[in-house]
Amino acid sequence: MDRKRIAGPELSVPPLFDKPQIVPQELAGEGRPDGRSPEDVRPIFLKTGLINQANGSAYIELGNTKLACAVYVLFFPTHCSSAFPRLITPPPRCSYGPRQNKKQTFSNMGLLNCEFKFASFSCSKRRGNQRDSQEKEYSQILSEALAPAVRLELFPKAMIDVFVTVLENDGTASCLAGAITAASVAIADAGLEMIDQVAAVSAVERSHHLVFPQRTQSFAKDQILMDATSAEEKLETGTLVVSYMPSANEVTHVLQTGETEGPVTVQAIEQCIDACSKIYTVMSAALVESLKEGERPRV
Amino acid sequence: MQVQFLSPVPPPPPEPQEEDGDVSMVDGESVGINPVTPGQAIATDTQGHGTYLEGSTVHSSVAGMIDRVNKLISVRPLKTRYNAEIGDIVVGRITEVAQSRWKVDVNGRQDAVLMLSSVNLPGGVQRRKSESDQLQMRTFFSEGDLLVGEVQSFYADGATALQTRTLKYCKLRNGTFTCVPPALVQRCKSHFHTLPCGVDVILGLNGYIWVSKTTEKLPKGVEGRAAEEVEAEMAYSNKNEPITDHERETIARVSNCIAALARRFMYINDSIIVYAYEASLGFAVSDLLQLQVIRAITQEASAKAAMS
Amino acid sequence: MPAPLISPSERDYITKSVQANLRADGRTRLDYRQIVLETGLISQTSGSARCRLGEGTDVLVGVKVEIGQVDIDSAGNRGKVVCNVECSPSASQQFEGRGADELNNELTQALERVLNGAQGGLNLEKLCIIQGQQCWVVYIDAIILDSAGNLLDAIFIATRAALFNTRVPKTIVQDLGDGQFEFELLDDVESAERIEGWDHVPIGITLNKIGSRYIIDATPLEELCTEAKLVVAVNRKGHLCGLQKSADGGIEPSLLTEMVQTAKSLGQSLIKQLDDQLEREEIDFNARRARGEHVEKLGFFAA
Repeated sequence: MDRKRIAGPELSVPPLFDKPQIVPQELAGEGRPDGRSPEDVRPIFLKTGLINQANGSAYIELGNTKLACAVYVLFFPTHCSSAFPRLITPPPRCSYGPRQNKKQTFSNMGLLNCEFKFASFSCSKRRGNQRDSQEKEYSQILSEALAPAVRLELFPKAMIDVFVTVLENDGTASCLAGAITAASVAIADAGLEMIDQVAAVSAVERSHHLVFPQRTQSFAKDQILMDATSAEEKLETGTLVVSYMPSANEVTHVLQTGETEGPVTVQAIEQCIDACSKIYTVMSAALVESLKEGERPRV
Repeated sequence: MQVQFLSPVPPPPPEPQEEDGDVSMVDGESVGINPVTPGQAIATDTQGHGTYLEGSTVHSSVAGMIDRVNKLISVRPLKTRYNAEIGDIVVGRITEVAQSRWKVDVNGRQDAVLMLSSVNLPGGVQRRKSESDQLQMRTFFSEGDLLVGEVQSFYADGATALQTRTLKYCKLRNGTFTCVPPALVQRCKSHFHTLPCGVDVILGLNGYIWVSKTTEKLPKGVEGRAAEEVEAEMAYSNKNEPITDHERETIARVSNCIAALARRFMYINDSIIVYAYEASLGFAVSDLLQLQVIRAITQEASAKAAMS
Repeated sequence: MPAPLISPSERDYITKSVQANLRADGRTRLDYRQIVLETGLISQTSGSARCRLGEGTDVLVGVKVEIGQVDIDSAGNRGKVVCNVECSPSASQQFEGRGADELNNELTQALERVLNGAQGGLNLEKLCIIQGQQCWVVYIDAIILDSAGNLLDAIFIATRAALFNTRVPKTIVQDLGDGQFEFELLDDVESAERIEGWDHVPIGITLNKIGSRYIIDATPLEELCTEAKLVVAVNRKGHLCGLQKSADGGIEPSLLTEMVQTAKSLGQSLIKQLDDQLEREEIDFNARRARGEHVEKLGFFAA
């Protein structure tokens, strides 16, 4: 079509389109598709010692969200290795020797280096092999969430590598929360000194008036759904990840996106803190379990 | 909460040079009148720093002011990193602990070196440095620590060697750090000042300035130990003494005054700091960050300096 | 710029100063430094702003709107916002080479998370030109020219100011029938419009926890003492549009709640004062242009 010669009308109105109804029926109701109540988190499966080569490792499942975490400690601090015989002789196949840290200058504190990676098949869309900016950011969040718990001041010159691989992603926020939980258990499994375990949980805030524009005035009907699946996440107006140390009573990380009124988020943070305390018991149980069956120093 | 949004204002027109009484003319020399640019032919005299010789004429190699001592002509750049001279008192920050030496950031082209052998260690001023001292160097100075020292000598590569072998050179405590262009700090008889307002100021010639609470100069000997010994130990202390809110405010005021003088590119010495401090007393400490207040107090200070 | 190191005694001094509510430069805990703001200084952009905090931090934000393809993932009726933050090596030696990569990514993600999406305030549906095909893409690029603490707040302030300054050319859509559409750009500068919803764009407030208290607008030395940082994004209505903790420390839950509340009220009053300033500048600009005066942007040579 030649626009130069066949001139259209001077003025025209942009076409109006109907908004596609994107809310599937099963999610529009009050309940959740898997029958959980809003405060419930999915059942957690947590086990240490998945990866033999690592100094410490953990595997976690939150429903369909599955991830593995490995911790490698470089430059073992001498005074703590005697207490933990597992650390004296690293597994023979371990290819991660003490890494020479050329860039870093001397540091009185240990360095916590975290790498978060989605496996390329883990999400609905294929992920690249290179770490993208979201993964880089999650890596940083992971290390910021764990740093308050690990007693880094006891490990001068040491480097603690934490690798998290997401195997299956059912809710991106829950991946981050699961990563923090699993990494904390893996660090404890590696025998590193910690102030407390870090439990993390995710939540979505669903503001009804945004999901259902027809029904206005509805902030009262806002829902906070703990540990959302990716289907629920799609309808979110906000997501929240909180990590918390129950014994030390400290929030080690909080990440919220989306627009909410202040009180909703404050309430959501409180709910998350409660849920973290519950997750904490699961973490402790998993660690105790591994200590019972694990290698104990022989007399 | 205090927040203030401003539109940018045009820079003030250059002030007319006064014939006399300008603070920058302390020695009665014609400083600040004759700016030259790189490559400009200056004279046919003996060449000094900041110049090069082409044929028989001396050309400037930096943008700055001409300094003339009899036949020796040199050009001093206004904005430059610190050029150390032997005997200078500098404030520095440890950047690295190396084999029996510390690397110190002194705002120069390269880090200065402080040898373990040129510091006083606790337990006898003149004792030999043992191997165990080498192993515990971080207990004396570690990365990030601030210290005041003196330029001792130069190495072949131009690096500066510092020494802290007098008791007045020590680790810095009880105060706050300010940085100004090194060219502004005037070379004086003393760089350790106790201001009448009860604040100690160390004006490092490298542009690093330490403002702190006045401490007693002579600690008493404790339980038969010599005063010197106690002080040598104190020299490496990281602990601050208790500081009252009033002292804190005075320290903040003095360091804001120094920042204000630097902002207006004025020479900094103890008397001008005192004048600026007196002029600032009419304002709240946090107001000293505002441009118009900075103008007011620096003008008043330079007028006072001109009178005396 | 001095090395990013701090001595134990300085750390102690700053921590106690924060406790005493009298910081090293005389400010109280919740004081900003003077903010100098100017909009519209880069003619190649659709909108630009420069924000300086005190004598140090200096941020330049340029907004460019370009025509791009609609994302197929979304409903197909939305424009896009793309953010990028770059720390210029001129600001600090540490930013040289790849030195700023991590910081760039952190700042970019923080900005993108707040601005891209419903909470970002911009009416993205209005930025769609033809459903399922073409839309406006708003590129927000921030350059850190000088860094002396509190970069993120300065970026947010400059971004909001730049979006206020942004004008999008008007388009005229023609229905060609058979579901085919064509559009035309109007060259007329006067008809260009502001992006709808610029006034709902949130700003971020960074709270630095030092000791048991928290401060805003930290200087570099204060940032070195910071145990935990909390970035709170707030919009004009006082709604929360993002919350993120960073740095290696924890926060007690009660303090966290208090910090969020403080940031909310701080943010609202900051937005109000920012808008006042922007309007003042615009009225002044229009008045001077109406008088036929030559209006000059001061740009980089202002005091």
